[in-house]
Amino acid sequence: MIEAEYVAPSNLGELFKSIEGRAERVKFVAGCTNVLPDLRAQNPAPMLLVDLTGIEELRRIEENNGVISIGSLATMTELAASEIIRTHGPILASAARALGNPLTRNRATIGGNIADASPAADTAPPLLALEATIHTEGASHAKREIPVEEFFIGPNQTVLNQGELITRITFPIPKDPSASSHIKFGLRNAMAISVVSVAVVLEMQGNLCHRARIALGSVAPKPIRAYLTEKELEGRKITEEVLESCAEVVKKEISPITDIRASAQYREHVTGVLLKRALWQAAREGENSTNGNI
Amino acid sequence: METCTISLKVNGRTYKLQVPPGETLLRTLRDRLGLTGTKEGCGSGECGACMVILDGKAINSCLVLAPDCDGAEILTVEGLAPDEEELHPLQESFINHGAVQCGFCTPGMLMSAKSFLDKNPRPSREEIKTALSGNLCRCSGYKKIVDAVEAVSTNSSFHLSQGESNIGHSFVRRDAIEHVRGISKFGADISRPGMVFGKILRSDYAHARIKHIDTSAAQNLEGVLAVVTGQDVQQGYFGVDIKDRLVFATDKVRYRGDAVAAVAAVTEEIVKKALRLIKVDYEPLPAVFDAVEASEPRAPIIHENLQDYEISFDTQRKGNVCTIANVKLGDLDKGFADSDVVLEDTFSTQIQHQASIEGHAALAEVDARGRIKVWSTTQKPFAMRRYLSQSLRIPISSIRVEATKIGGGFGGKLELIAEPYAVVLARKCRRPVKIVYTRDEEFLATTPRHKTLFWVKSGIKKDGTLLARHVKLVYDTGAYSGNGPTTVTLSCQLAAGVYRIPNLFIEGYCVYTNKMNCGSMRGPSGPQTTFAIESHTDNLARKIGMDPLDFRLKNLLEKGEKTGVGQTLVDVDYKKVVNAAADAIGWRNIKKQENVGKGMACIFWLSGGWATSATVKVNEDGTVSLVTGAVDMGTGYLYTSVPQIVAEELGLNAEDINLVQGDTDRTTYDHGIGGSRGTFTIGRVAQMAASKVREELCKEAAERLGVFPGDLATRDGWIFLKADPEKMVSFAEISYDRHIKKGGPIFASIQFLPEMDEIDPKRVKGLSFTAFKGNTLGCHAAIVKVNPDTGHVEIKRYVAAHDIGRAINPMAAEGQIEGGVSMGIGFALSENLLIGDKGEVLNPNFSDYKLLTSLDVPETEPVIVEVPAAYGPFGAKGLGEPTMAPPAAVIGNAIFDATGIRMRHTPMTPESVFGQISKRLRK
Repeated sequence: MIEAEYVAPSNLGELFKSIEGRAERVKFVAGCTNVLPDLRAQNPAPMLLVDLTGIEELRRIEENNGVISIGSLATMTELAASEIIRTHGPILASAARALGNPLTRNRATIGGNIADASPAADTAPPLLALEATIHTEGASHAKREIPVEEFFIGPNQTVLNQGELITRITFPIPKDPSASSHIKFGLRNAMAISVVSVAVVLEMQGNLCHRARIALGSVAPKPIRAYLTEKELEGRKITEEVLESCAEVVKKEISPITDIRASAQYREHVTGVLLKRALWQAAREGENSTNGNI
Repeated sequence: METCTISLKVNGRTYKLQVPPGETLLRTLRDRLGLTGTKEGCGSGECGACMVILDGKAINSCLVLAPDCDGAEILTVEGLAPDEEELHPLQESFINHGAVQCGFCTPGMLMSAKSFLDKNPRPSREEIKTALSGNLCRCSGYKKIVDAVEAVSTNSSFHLSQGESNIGHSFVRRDAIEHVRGISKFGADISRPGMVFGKILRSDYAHARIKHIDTSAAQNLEGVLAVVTGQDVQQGYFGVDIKDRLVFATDKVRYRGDAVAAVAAVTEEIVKKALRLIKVDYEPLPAVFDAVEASEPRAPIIHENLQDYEISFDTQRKGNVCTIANVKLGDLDKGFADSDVVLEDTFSTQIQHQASIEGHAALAEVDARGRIKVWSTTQKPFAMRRYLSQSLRIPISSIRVEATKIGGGFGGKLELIAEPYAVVLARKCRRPVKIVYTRDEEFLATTPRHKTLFWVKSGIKKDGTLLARHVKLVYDTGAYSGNGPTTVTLSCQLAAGVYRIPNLFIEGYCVYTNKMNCGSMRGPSGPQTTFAIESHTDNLARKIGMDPLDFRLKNLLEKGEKTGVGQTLVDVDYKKVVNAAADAIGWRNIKKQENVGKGMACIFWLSGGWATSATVKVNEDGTVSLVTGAVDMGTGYLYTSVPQIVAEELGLNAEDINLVQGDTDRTTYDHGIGGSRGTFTIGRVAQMAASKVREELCKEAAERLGVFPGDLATRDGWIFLKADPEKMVSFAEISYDRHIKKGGPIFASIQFLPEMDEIDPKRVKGLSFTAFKGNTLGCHAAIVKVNPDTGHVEIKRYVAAHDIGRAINPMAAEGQIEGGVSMGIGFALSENLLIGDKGEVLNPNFSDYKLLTSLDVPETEPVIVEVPAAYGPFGAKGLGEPTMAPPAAVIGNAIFDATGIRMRHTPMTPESVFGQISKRLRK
């Protein structure tokens, strides 16, 4: 058990009031799927646990004027099942379906997954590829809108200030006709932490890719966009040759590490394999997405 | 500390509770509401044992804060059945399909299944597997669990085979109903009035001298009741074969995890705080983590007094090598000289952990006279009592050990683990002390499977005849010998047990390193030896262009022949087993496809002996009680095959057999469960006791009926004249009269030490034991597909044939095979306990020690072969262990068939397979 005080505000107003002057001790909790194991391992100083799960306004998934808005408390199960997400951000639904296991997915929230900022965070590559924006609120209601590619700084590090909360995540509906694909490569078919994951959103004209957004997980200190690879692809037809050159270029912009799950070398190789497959799938089958061991 | 007031509706009842903010729902359910059906397997949401339904959603209760559940509705396994009488259809189905083995994951599985079927009543089989993929099961291989859920979803009824005989039908296990209702008491579920909590301080160094331990700050912490170090207790060296270990390290620590001190306090939080306050002054010593390096002359010495340790067998010991075992036969040089082809291979294997979903737990209580009672998750209550006596210098008569329900053992619960610490703390503070290992501690400081290195060289004739073999095998036993010498002995026997090899030399070495002590995991040495020998066997066959099936059929030993150690094989038919596996997979008709391959491998095994005893007594109503000192570690033999054997011998129904087990005060001696001896040895002694009871019943009946005992038969609790079945008398009538009127009750107690088979003493040197009876063979075959881009291996089909002598309970036998194969595939492909360069465990958790999930394990096709053993009850042989030995070799051979690459190290991860593929491409 961890030593803590506990508050469970039912709206944002109450929340900021309850943490006034104590922001430095605040730990926001919702699904707890990362927080509890972490806290147990660390023996932290007594803290103020702020339970967000009662704040209904942070739960909604909605579409307004071509923008999808996801409350930070939306769970993986909800994302995977949401018609809105399946239609407009299927790669995010795919990533949500691939996170952990059904029990974790019932609790884990998108806000938590992003705030935890693991280089392997499952929802990060789709959000990067969808060019999402992270909306936050901090003490005295200071609001910020942070492009997701600026949000992560390093392993488990973000630009969030102490006491600043992710309220929602938005992304514009990709322009029609667009195609997307997401692949997670882990070492098991469930409960896997990704070795590499890839998400791509392509705006296509026939076989010509005219805009590409490519994002990768587990191959850098943080989830990243592959800008050079995007440039390599844009304006070209998707052929095997182009895919090969993308797979070469992408190696220049990743910096994988060797850890107990895989070596840097293998991650680099698999990044190329998955990238080719994701681009090929997106180009050929539009919104087809898969995950797991392939 | 501030508390929160919450209101929970659990299983329909509302509770108002005060809880600290940091408390998890799991703790609230278990500790405050006493609902111990919800289990803790890892404490970090990676196993699903603590799964409950919270407001309609399946969640891990270890990852939910209790205050967050204020106002919520919760359903736990205890609330699943509609009432005391009736079960939920899922509970019924789990029982009938044999989906319950140890029962520890069962509550979580049931709740996952229930929450899933509520939302999706007609799922596909794949959807069921996905739904259960957050619930780890270590026993079953998931197949029967998926079957059980599928049957409920399709509303299909299930009829167990019923026959005239108790033998050969799938009697459901008696204890399954307790498991599905969540009322079984596993180690952590036991509590005693006044109980406090204990924990162990472990070494931070792999090898260091202890200069000083300062416990004063811990002693002074409020709530601390006892702090104990090696200075405070009388200790004696203990060990299975070599007594080289102490409960508390005193002079030096030998691995990161060695126990230095232990603390008891009123709460677990205070215990943890107190441990942090103990200051240990270490002088670090050079450490060695590799068995080959440790064998070299200049390696740091881990046990300076190795020569002085008491040892139970004759072997050579030098440096860090604590056992050298040899098997020698024929003329090796001549054998190689006469060979047409000589081939050498090396192989290595990793540390695999038993990873029972239930960790170790022990509770010790001292009574007013100083007598100690220990509740333990042990597989060996009597040995535990002896070990406690030896290690803490307490008379055996002052100790009572009672085994709790065991949530999976797999050989991980054979040795002293948490027990001695609970005992010393309880003696010091005179309060009951409970120690429950965390998942982390399980991985750091228990007894996993040995890491090994094999070098194998064989010579064959062009026609495939094996002429000579030289094997060197090295077992890394860690900081203490533990079961290492015995495992090396077994490895030597296995390496020489399958094929006819006239010229043979096997050298086995057991070596200390500064790691955790490795022990006996299900089929100790089986997976390692089989991986090496059977991969090498395929290489030999390929070298001369022979089908690996034909190569095996040509060289397999036959009944009446001698194994390498000189044991004569009786009651075996190796070819029958190999052909059964080949036929089941359609070996000769598999079409060659790109990156798809087939593989097979054999395992020779024995059925464990060792001393046991049993009492069979007839109660006043004619039912029978079986009293045994053995325990059931989850496989179910004590709830299925043994009562079936007793019932069959007596002429009764298995349902009428009551069971008393695993208590050193209430039962007579048993060696402990392991070595695939459950059905074979305990079944046998129970059968002998039952036979004696039957004799007496018949004598009594003969007197009453005025006939000869030999003319009588028994069935369903009646004794009748064979020639005139109308003439009969019931067990109940006889037994009641014997109890009340004359002669006293009818019972029989039998002691039994199964004979060991003879081996040839000229052939062996340094083995810790000779050979058990009940020889058996298993042969597995599989088809796999390799992805050349990533190295990922997919198992398309898996067939496992085992000679089990006689299938007393076919469903239980299938469960052993499916579960064993699943564990073997884990060994082959994913499980690997990793040690860092300072001796630290790098993955002491279920997220990176990768047990396979319901989405990873293929649906094994079990094939039961019956070549009865004269020595076994109704012909039965042991089965539990050999089931997990072949998969690594099978898959390795299939990868070779698919791609032409030979995998030499386990686990064969995608990265390692890809590494070999790309190496070949570069050539």
